[in-house]
Amino acid sequence: MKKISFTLIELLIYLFIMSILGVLIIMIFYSIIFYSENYLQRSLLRTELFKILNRLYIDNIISTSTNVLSTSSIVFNLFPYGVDYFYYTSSDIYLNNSKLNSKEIYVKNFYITTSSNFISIFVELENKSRKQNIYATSVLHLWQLEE
Amino acid sequence: MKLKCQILVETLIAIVFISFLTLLVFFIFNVVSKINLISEDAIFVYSKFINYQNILLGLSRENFSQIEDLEYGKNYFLKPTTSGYMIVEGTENEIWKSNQYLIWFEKSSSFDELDNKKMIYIYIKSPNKLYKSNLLLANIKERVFNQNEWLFPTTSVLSVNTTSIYYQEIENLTTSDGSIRLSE
Repeated sequence: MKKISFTLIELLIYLFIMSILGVLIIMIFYSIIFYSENYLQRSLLRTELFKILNRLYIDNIISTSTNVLSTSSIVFNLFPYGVDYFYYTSSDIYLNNSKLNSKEIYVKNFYITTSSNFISIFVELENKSRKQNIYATSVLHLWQLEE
Repeated sequence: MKLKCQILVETLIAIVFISFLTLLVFFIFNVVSKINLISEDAIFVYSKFINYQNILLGLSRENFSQIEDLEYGKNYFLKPTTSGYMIVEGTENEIWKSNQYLIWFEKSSSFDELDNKKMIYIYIKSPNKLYKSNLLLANIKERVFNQNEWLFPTTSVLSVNTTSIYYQEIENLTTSDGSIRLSE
């Protein structure tokens, strides 16, 4: 059997090239994993924000308002007939005692401003690691039919 | 001979592996990043469209003549004030996530003959696309007065054409004198 042998220099060059290639491959895979995680987190935030906005807009369309309380209190009655209670705690948004946001995200900021019959709701969400966030403002017009 | 076959097989495996890696890198850093951009764009456009629709709806409910008094062919946007919103001529310029968006609306002349209905076209110009949304506002004040059986006489009421709200990409876009027009 023919014996194959390497010199020390050849072996060192081989190991050097392989180590560089190894580092490059690890970096590529790490960046792919990091970027995919990043994308999934942003996707989750977008979905959650869309869900909350959609709920706000739909409830605004199908309902009319009797009164609006936008005080410093975190609980206020946004929708009519004492049925729909929309409120916010330190990290979650509730509507009719059902949490709008999932467990995977926090509500970072939540501001309400009113002018005339318009109510502006600013919602900012962030993920559990608190590294990503997304925000949007929804404007609703609240009105009451006169009986 | 055995060594040559082994090298050939290893080379083929390496080519397949590198091809897969290349496709993965391309997909992650090109396709996914574009999906990300388009999706975030969609969130902004969606909320902005509905905000404009709600505000215009509110303004028309309070006083429908505000909508009637709009001139055809002119761009308007909504400016927040301490007592609601006011309609101002021009375009709104908003920066969102380092991207510049232009928002404006105009009254369509297609419903001119119908006094109690006004079609509003809302436009949002994102860095890549121009989106358009239709909103049909109706003033049924007269109909309320003429129909006694209606229980809720209101000042002005709406008819939101929610089914016709759609996004459309428009290519023929010209900018002149600080205003944006759609060329035929």
